[in-house]
Amino acid sequence: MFRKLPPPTKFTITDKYKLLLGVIAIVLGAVILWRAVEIAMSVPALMVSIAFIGFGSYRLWLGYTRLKQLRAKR
Amino acid sequence: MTTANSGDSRGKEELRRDVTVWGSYTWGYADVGADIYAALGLVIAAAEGLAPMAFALAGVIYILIGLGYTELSSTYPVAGGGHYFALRGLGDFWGFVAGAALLLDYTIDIALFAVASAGYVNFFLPAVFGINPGHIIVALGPLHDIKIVWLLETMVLIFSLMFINIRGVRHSSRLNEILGAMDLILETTVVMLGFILAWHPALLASQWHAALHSLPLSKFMYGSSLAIISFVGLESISQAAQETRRPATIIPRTSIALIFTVFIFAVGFSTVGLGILPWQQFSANISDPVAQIAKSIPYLGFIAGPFTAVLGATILLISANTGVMGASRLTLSMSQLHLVTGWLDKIHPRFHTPVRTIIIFSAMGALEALLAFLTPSAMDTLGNMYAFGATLGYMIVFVSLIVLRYRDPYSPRPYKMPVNVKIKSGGNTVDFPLMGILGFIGVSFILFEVIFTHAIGRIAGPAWVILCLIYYLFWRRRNHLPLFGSVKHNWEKEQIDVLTSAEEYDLVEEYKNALAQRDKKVKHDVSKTAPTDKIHDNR
Repeated sequence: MFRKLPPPTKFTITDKYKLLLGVIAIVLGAVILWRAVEIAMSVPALMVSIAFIGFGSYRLWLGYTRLKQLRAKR
Repeated sequence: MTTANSGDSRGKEELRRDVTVWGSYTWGYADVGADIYAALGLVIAAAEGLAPMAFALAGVIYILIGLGYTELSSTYPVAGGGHYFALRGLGDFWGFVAGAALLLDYTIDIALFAVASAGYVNFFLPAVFGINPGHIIVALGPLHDIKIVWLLETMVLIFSLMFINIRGVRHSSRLNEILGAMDLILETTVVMLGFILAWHPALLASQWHAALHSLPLSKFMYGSSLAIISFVGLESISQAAQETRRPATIIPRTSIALIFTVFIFAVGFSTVGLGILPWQQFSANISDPVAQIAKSIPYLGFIAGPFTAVLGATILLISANTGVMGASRLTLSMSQLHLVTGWLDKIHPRFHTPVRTIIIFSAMGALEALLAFLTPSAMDTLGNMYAFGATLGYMIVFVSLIVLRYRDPYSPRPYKMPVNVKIKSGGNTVDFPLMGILGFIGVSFILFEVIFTHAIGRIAGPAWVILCLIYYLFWRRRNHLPLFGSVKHNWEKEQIDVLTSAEEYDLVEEYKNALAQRDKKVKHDVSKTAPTDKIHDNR
């Protein structure tokens, strides 16, 4: 889908930020889902929780891929 | 980033390419990300408890529009945006229609975001001066509901922007980066803390179910068509493309990240907002909805509310400024392509800025704001017009995207909209974009909603386009240019020049190879048919 970027040379602060954001998004999604299931379920709550979990997982997967590339390069 | 300057409209003015990956992302975010500050209240007031669904529906269509813009902007990294794509795909006439729709959006952008920015300034007035500007109303003849203080604030903001731009603002990439980053952090914080500390799923569910059973379909349609304005500003992707080094590599990544971030925030804000406050409160505070959410967060609301209001006012003002700058870039591009007079791009001898464009389009923005304040809700009226201009422009862009796949299969496409079907056409195999068709249908649906439900938009929007068309036909006739046909352009040379200036040397090679193969094939076909011609000649 995208043109390939050159493999990373180091694990930057941006990578750490992306990983942190991924973890936060997954936790937030889980909290929303849990509270909605516990108290009152609605379509928007379900939608937003799944969106956050999906977004966080994607961020973590991106970070993991970069780490893997970095290790392979080393 | 530099402002578009043009002394001679026929001359090619180049915009400097110095925008980084982060700069490209925050440039878009400072523009598109600001929309939610203005749109949230309008959409919740219309769609009530179904606002998250309205945002999601408009958001899905916006994602398709965004993917289309990503493909076109990375293929043709020039600042003209939608009107340039339309002109390349469909010719001068449609290029002008798209340009007219986008010009409408830029002038509304100036008016709407100045009104919204003043709305966030008004967040402080009750606490500081003990007055609520929304309650200071004057009557003027048959009009009884003119919010005079808000109107005056808006005029001050618009004319200040005009003055600053005439003097020559260096709307720096660094400023965008700082504001974009601050906005991103603030929106993330408000959404996160809102969900964790203040969100009541029961309140959201009750509003959702109430609206599901009682909200008329026409009100939901109105809300979802207004929701599209929270995603407007995709033109900034193509503007960033012209000033980004290696746009083919950078633009697809940054614009797709931008598209999904804005989508998540739009749906997230409406969901968290309706779980904190009843929709009626948003309806009563249409001018500063995000600050209302921030204010309601326990423990931090006393600081988060005012901070959000300050940032909202600033970022909305920057967005209004994008309208002033966008209009001058667009008219520069349109005059270079023989669609409007070059008179508009005359440069001020002292300030070196396109003073005529700045004055004319800022004054139009001010006039639109003034007229909007004569209606019951200024923001609602401007939102109506904004939605019309955006959807019309996007519809033409989708048609251009599909046509360009056929007419210009040789230009390298670093990013293609996903889900394509291979179709043979004129000896070439073309990737037919199914998602482009879906996007076209989606935008057409929103335009239908606008025409069906927006009492002002359905009259004023087409009236603007018709007025612009009258000017276009008059001007083209006076200059002995084809009225409905196109002026000849050397697109191949231009494409090579654009890619070379973007330092996309591998794409230049790819493009030249594709053209060489095409020429070889044409020669081969000619040589195959030549003997037959000779026989005919001899006979």
